[in-house]
Amino acid sequence: MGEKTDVWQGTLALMILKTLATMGPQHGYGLARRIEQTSGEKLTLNYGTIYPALLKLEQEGAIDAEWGASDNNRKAKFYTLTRAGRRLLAKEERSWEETTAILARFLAPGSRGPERA
Amino acid sequence: MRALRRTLARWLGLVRKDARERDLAAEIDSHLSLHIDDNLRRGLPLDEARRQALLALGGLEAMKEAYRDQGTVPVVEHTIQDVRLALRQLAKNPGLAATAILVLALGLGGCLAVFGFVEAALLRPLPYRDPARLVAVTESLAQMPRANLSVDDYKDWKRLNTVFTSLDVYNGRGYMLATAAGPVLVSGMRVSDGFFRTLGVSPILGRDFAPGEDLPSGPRLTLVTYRAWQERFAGNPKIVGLNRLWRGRSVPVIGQKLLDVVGKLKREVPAKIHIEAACYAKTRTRRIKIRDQFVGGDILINLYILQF
Repeated sequence: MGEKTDVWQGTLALMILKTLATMGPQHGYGLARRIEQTSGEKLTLNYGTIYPALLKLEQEGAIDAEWGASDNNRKAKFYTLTRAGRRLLAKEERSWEETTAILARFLAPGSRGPERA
Repeated sequence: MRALRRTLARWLGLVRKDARERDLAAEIDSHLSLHIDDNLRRGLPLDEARRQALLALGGLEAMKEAYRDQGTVPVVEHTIQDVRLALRQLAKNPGLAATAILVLALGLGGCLAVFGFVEAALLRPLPYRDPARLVAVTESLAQMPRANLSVDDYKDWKRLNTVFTSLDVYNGRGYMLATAAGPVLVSGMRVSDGFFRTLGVSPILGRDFAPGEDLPSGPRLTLVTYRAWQERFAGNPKIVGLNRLWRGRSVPVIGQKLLDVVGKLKREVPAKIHIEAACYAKTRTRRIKIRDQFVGGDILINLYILQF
């Protein structure tokens, strides 16, 4: 358990968008499970936290929600990526790649560490 | 654009709060069912399957709270709740409520009244041509520091005046106005002929008093205020020249004044008939006593500088 990481602030929305883009319409539980699996079980996600994030994305028009039936015939609310959501995903992906690239430069071997007095 | 949409959705969320709560409850139910199904499939007993599903979901109340905050505008939401609570408490205790409302009303009313006075008396300039150079002059006697002036003294002062550009007098009194519903008491002023020229205001209809029209032998003429014209004469443009405004007298109207000055003085109808007696101080802010030099005697005159 100690090796698991909490979901970083602000990255949950990106994970949701990406998961919806690759898997198509999903319900909240499916998304939470999928995010955990994709992380190689390295992320701890309180499944509950996904719902406020979904609401926010829905308010922004990035996703649509509709009640439907799950594979095993349970009633569930399914979320679909909208066109605005796809644009948002592309933008967020770029921005995240830039961030990690910048960090990678700092952490790359050979980069100068802090000056020693 | 996204932020705008979100803001809009949150404001809308204020009105469809109950529907959203129900929707969330249904979604959590569905989530738990799906998770429990999965757990059962993995061979867990029902109790354990349910327990683990609840654990994985995390703090339910905290999540609902976060969802609620995301769904509406929390500040507004909380304010509405506070107001509701306050109203409930007040309804529960009408005596306290009445007292609180009364005290607030009195406080607000008091503030408003004081501000109204300060605004009219101190902040707003007098509606005259040159209010900074306008002063009110009165007679001053030991028994009566701000005494009226006799008409003869006024004439002397005016004749011997070297201090003021012009010197005019007024005096307030009531008049009986003839109306369809019978005579009505209205307040008016008698003024000397140059009164409005001294103040620097002129009628919007008709003409001002002409020199010499304030003599006892002169005609009886009336100027009415704008408000009186609108309210008592229905804004009739033919009012100029109209006779018999005043009960028992025939007094032609020679003009209506757009005179805020008269409103300030709380005189509805300034009427000039002729001077009977007259000088009257309007107001005081700074009071300077000067020795009168021109009447010959040792009369003390109060000079009131209108500093509004």
